[in-house]
Amino acid sequence: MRRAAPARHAAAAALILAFALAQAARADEAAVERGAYIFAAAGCVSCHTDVKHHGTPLAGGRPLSTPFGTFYSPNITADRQHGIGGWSLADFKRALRDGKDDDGDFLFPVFPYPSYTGMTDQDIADLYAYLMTQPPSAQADKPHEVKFPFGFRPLQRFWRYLFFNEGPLAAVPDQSAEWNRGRYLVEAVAHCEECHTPRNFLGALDRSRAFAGNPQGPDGQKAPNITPDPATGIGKWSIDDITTVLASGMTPDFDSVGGGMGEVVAGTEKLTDTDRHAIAVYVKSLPPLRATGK
Amino acid sequence: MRQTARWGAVCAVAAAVMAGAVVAVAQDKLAAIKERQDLMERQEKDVKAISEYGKGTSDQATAIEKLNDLLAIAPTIPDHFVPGTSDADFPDKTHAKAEAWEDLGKLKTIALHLRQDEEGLLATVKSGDQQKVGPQLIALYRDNCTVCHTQFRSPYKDE
Repeated sequence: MRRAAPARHAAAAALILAFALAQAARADEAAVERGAYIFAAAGCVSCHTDVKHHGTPLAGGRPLSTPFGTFYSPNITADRQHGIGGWSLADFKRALRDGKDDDGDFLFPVFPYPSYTGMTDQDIADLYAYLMTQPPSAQADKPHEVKFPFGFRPLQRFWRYLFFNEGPLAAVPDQSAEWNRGRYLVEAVAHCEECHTPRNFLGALDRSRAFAGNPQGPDGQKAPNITPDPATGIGKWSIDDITTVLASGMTPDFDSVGGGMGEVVAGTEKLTDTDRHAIAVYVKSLPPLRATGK
Repeated sequence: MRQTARWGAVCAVAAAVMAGAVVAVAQDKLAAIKERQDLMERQEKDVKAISEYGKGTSDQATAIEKLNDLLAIAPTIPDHFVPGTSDADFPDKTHAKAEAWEDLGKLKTIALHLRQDEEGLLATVKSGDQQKVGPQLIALYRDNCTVCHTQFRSPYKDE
């Protein structure tokens, strides 16, 4: 009988270990699932896939034309050599929170880290977990074609000093939970300002005119005023109108959005009704601003 | 001198004929663009009527009539993408990207899918289940109109 005791202990230890491993696997699966949701809200696939040339999803190579030159999105698949497969969670968090790559070099703000910095640690970790499950692609990154002197990365230090505020986004206590959730999605995860807010001559967001439209949006596209200004914004749109656009791309006049916003809708259509409603509530609460440059 | 003058006259007539032909072709293409745009607007009006039925502000018979119109239009959409009528050919007249012609197969696939979704919506409208019309219409837009416009329409109305 005495001899049986170590065997029982070993069996118990094995059971505990198996239970712990199963729990860890379930936790990982849950993180990946949550990460897929954040991935859709953040619209990562839009910039990091060269759709026009039928590129591999997330393998990068999409040209992003800006007044400072053309940037090519990098490979963010789990490939260790060409993607971010070799990045740790800390590396990934540093990119989103602080705008620095795995070597600590400054990233150009064409990558919307000034918005992503507002994300929570949990959402960043979940997004990382999801990306690490995506098929690797060995596609090499294309070098950016940036005008002199903007391609000189150390100059970013000055830009960051002037325009970058590290997150995460703090909740506004006197606003509702729904409003704060909407603000978090709009300002941090979905980074709506990056297209809908005009930029100054150094390419930084002109926050005094937040969401008032950008005549020089990505790839030269005009991004409209999404403040509740009735004449030049979406002041005549109801909460339902906004949630319908986010769910389907259908506008209140029965047209449908296209171009860049169509790509955004490919992500927001996957959000819950609750989150789309929260986005609409926040957008409707913005101060109405008259668009200029129309 | 007389022969030179004759040659000059012949050349002038030929140039005029060629210029006329070029203008005629351009006008044909502009007409094709206008027809395509009218077709899109017609669909928007049809959808509006169907949406109103879903909200209880229009009648079933009108919704069925408009859906039948949409069903007739869907298979003809690719035919309205006449070669030489993209935004590369007429930048101020159309937002149809040249990519639509480069990937005409996808455009045709979307048109087929659109018709299937419209058939499903017609069945719902005929069933009288108004509650389902709105969500189904939203899904139809998401899976067809927005997909097509995202890839094949250049920025329009401040998108």
